Amino acid sequence: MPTTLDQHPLFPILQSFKSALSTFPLKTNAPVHTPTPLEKPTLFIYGPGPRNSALSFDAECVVWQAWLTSCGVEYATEHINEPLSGPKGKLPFLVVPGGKTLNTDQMQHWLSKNYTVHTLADPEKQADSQAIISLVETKLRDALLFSIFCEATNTQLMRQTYFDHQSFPLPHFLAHQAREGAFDEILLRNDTVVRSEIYRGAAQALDALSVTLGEDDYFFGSAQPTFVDATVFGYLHVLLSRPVGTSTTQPTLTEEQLAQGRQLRELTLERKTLVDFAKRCVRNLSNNG
Amino acid sequence: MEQGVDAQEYERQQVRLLDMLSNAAPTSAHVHSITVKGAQRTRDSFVLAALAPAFKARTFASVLNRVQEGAQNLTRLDIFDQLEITVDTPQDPFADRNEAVDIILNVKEKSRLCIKTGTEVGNGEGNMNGSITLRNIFGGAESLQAMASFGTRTSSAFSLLLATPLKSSPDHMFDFNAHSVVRNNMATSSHEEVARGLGIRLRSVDRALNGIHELSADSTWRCMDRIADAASLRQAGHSLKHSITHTFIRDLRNDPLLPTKGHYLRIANEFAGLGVVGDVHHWKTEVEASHSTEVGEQLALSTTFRVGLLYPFGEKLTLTTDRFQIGGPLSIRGLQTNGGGPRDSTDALGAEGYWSGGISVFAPIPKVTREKGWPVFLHGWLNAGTGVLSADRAKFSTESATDVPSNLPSIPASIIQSLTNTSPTVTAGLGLVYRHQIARIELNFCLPLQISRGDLVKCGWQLGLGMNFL
Repeated sequence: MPTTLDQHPLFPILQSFKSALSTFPLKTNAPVHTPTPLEKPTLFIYGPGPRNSALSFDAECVVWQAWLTSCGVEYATEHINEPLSGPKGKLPFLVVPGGKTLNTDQMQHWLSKNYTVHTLADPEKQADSQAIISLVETKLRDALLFSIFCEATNTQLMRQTYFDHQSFPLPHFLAHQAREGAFDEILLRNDTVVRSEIYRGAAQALDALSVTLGEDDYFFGSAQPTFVDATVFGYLHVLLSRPVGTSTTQPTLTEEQLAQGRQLRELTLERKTLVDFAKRCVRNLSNNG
Repeated sequence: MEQGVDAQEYERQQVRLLDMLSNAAPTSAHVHSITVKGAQRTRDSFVLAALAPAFKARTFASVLNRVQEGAQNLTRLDIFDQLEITVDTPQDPFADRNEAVDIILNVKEKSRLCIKTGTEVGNGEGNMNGSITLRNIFGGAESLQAMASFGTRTSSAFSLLLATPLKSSPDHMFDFNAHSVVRNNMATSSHEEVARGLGIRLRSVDRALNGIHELSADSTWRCMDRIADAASLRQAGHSLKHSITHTFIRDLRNDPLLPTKGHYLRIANEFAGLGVVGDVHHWKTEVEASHSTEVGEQLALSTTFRVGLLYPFGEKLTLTTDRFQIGGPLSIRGLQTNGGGPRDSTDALGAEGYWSGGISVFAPIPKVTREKGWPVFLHGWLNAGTGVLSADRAKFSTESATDVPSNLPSIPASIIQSLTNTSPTVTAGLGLVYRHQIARIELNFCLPLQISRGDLVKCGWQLGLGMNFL
């Protein structure tokens, strides 16, 4: 009785059958399609927007453009304008050579593994920087979402910047959906959506940012920009550079409505320290990028 | 004994009736009136329209033929359980008693509501489905059907169909449809697709060409999301497609599932991008031809050829969902489903031009097929085919590749040139075919002879289940 498989009388026949099969396919030709390999990491963002700028018109995208540049990453950008292409249904995201797609959390991990990431040495300052980031991502983000998506004066501009590449009547439908989405996001962090409260929160956040920055070039006296600088800059840049409705572009709106559309931008412009900080960051970015 | 007498009597009566009919056939006759009995919901005018040609008949034979044709058409509309025709002498005292006849139709209507549930397996996927049909809703054989199905690849599909015959004829059907489909393409193209749309369709039998024409206009909003691989990220997002499609089908096979005689032809043309509405602009054409013949007493030979071309207008990339997918047990055997043509890592990108062809030989299994009556056959086959993208045509151009920028708008001729310059994937194999009542099941041992790098090959056993094989 054969004890192991290779002693079985049929084994040589199976072996030769297997080796005969391994000769197939008899001929292998070149592939019918050769995808162009990605040469450098590519950041997929919203853009170019009404000002045709290299920086996106979306705050989160600008944050990551600034942060990747600060970390010395040589990357390409692609204006895809389609959040559904992202791994979490959101922009921005990064595709690295090899085809891996990274969302923002994975990007942070990838950066710390492959590049020198500037962080604040003092753990106390590090904790404070986290507080500043969360202040921006709550108070300032709420105000920005409200101003872009919910203010009547800015609806048309929002539709044009975010959805005009879609064919009619999709921009109208998607703009409506985005507006609902913005309301839902604001309501996650607030009990009600009241304009005056949201802008008051933003004004307080801007004051806090202005005081924390003080006379320094970057937050917490750092010599190099850190992630908190990128985050603050991302939001400030959009607050300052975003076009708002005027009486010529939107003649149907009242002066009060137009003033409401401008309110957030004016609140930011009043804080000269922050305006200077944003200008300094843009200058640095254009020097590095 | 009594039965034998009855049978003889019956036969005698049959012969007498036939004699009477053949004697009466050439005599002149015309229809004086048509009465419909038993129709509660069906409009008289609708039934009369179906039988109208009978009024033009001038001999007894043609009256009978026309009435019978009309009755057959009414039966095909699936609104009556029973339909009996009586030819009678006219009741009207003023009617010409020598020539005029009255036609009386006794009908029993089918129930208005029909609910069906079922499971289906075929064309590489399984699903469970249910439908509710309201028959004859306005008394003119109009039907309203609501359908829902949940399956392995088509995650969910809902449709609403309002169909009506034109001129009371089942040969000309018009329908309005609304549809919503969620398709899971994760396994082959790393995305999910949601498509919602409205359409109208006219289906018409062409007696001269022995086929069916189908003309449809459709507006569909598609949304590709849940992208799982970088290769498919540019497919993501919304797209609006407005298209007009014409399909001609001629099916003269003796069996659509496992034909041994006859031929099949399908020509489909789609034009998408009417006016400024919508963002999909292309011309898409696909031809499928198949011929089956018996060789000797035992063997059957079946040859199939398919070719397709998608020609985009403008610079926008065509979407995977509009392109042709090749490979799989129903396409090129020996390749995995959508495993052929242009690919990017694990994702099938779909082809803008493709061809595939197959030769199959079927032979009965001794002592099984004929003696036991099992519909199982031995099957040997050779398949070949390839698919290309227009963006790659510079690679296959006879001119220097550097002279032809790869982002040129595609030209059908250059896609055809790319197709002819690409070496096809060729596979061969042997197996068994089982002809089930509703589908054909194949178990094949596949050997890839020639492949293109990147093809997803299935070397060894492959199971195929479906209706429309190569």
